[in-house]
Amino acid sequence: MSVVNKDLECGLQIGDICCSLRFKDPDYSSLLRRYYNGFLSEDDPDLTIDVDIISHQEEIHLPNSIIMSKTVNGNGFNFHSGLIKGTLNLGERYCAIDVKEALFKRIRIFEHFLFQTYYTLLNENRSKTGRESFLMHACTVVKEGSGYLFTGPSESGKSTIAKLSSDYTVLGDEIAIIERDDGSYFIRSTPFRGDFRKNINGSSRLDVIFLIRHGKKNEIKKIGKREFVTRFVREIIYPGTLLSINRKKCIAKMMDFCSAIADHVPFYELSFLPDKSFLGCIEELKLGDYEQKEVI
Amino acid sequence: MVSLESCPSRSEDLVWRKIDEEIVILTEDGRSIHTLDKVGGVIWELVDGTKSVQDIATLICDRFDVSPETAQADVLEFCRELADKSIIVVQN
Repeated sequence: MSVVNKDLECGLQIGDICCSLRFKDPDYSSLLRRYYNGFLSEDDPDLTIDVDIISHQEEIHLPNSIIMSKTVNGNGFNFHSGLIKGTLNLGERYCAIDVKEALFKRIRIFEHFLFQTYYTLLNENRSKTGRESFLMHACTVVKEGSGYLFTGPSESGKSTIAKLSSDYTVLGDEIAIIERDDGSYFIRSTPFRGDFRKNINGSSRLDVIFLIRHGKKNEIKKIGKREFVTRFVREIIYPGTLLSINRKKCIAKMMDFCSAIADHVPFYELSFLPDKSFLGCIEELKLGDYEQKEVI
Repeated sequence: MVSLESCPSRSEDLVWRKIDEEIVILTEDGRSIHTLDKVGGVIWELVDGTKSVQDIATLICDRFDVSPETAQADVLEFCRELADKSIIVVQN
């Protein structure tokens, strides 16, 4: 019987998925346990990942993304010319990776590997659950029972919205799970956080979507479906898996998901001032027949 | 080079959908998005690898209130622009 040393492990919950990262050096497992505090899991993992940290003398320039620079060969994968390389055995629910040490100085880049791990396991589970989920760049807030998703490109204000909404339930400020289940849409928190680290591990029905931008006044504007889809789809994290996948099929799935959500969930553009006054603007949405509103 | 005799076709590497009467095109990496307005969308649907730019211009001329010369020039420019972006491919 093998004995698992819990000091070397970090069990991480990402939505319904649990993966256990096992290190040889307890410093790394404790670093990740601290970093992902609130999203740790003791459950039986869907995937065990043995992580070998490769130290190096040379300075490595880290790219902003390693998702699209991955190559696959059979059960093996290689992110960005060896930054992370490994093998996956889904039947055994086991993965082994070598990771260049530099990546642990910028965990957000290492998280790109975890995004693809999530999508890989999601694909495996989809036939059982029937749910469709995507990771996306978004701040998610639950206020008085209503679930709000705020999305936009980098610097559009996701973390600002999270900080200003701290009187309510903040599910996350950086990466959210958006899920369709039996025709309804839900938002879930993930361990992938930005600057706001007091988020709750939870979920909510999705009631309204806002495409956000900083503005000189608070303003909520209706936008057309075509504009919504083209802006919203950019914020979805490409649903590539660790092994090979049909890219065109993935993109089509993203596009159809965004188009379907526009038919079911109200969406607006929100320009906001960096103070809590925008919350009053959102409150007025509940009054119905809302076209365009300005709050001074 | 796209000419009036070229028979352009839509690139196989793209995903496109018609949303609110406009065409939205996504490249395979999902990062690059192009949108076409109503007339662009009609041309896009005619670009099927069997019709020449000249044929498409004639069909556009029948459908919209535009002179043959303007239709030819506009369709040619449109196809050249999309070919430069590898959104359509051209067989001469």
